[in-house]
Amino acid sequence: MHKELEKYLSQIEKQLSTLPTEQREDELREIRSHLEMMIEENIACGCNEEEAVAKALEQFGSTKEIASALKSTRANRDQRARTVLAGLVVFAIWIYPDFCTNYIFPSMRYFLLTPQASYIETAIVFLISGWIAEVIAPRKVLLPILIPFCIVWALGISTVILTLVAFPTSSLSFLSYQLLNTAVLPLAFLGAWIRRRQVKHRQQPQMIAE
Amino acid sequence: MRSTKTEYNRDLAKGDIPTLILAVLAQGPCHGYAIAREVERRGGEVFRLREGSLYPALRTLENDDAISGQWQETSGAPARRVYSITEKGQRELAQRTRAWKQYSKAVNAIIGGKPHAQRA
Repeated sequence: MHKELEKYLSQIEKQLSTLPTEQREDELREIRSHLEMMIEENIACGCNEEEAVAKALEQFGSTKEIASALKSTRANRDQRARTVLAGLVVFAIWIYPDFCTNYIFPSMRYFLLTPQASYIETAIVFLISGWIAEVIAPRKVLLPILIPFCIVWALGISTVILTLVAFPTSSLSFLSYQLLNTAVLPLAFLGAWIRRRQVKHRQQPQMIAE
Repeated sequence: MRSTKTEYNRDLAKGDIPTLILAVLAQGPCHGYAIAREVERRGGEVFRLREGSLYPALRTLENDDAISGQWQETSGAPARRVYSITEKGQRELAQRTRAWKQYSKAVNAIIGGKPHAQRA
């Protein structure tokens, strides 16, 4: 194929280097196919090959602008998917230990979790969940943490209300557990902040070297 | 005197490209190159489409589930990614069309220069 066309495509390829290989190849394949059709049309209109390629590349636009626009749309989609995934993971991290100790291995609670240990466990779980949310969706942890929190909180409160209605004499330990969850929520954001600091710290020497 | 075509030969605004893509796809599935040609043909070459800007707009519409794209192999020709409009895209097009009509009506009212007395 024509040298100028290959040069143009390799410039786009370089600028799209941050995209996953499959996505990048898809974009390049489509752009190449479009440019080849433009060139064919220009030749059919009486241009020689040089002119046809130059005209097509001029009409297609700057490689920098195209690549940066493509990257931003891909990034948006990826970011949305990552945010949803982080939310699901955080939700699972918060629900799973409770589910296991209450329903699958109830005996574990007697062995492992004294009331004090349970508070520590909750605090650690929140801290870790924030750290993991920041790994999955960097700098976008607000929704992945807050939405599952509201769901867990709403589920917990409904349980409290239903329990009190069904057994008016029961204790309010469920409610105190919900209050504990609210109190440890900032730990999730602390976990995310710790992760952010770690990444920043790791990147600093590289930036100086550049 | 310069022709109207030359006077208004300008690059399309980026925000208008998705509307034009949806309008073209509402007539039937197309690949990127065919969309560009159709926009040019229907627009009477009044405005110029930087064809590279078509693909980010197509990606955005795909991300919003307004269109869907699939690679299609045809014998003797290179594979092409063909796009078609979804139901969500049809709704989006109707909404964008309404907004555009409102906008152009307002601009026409201003540049038409009707005096206030006549409007009343």
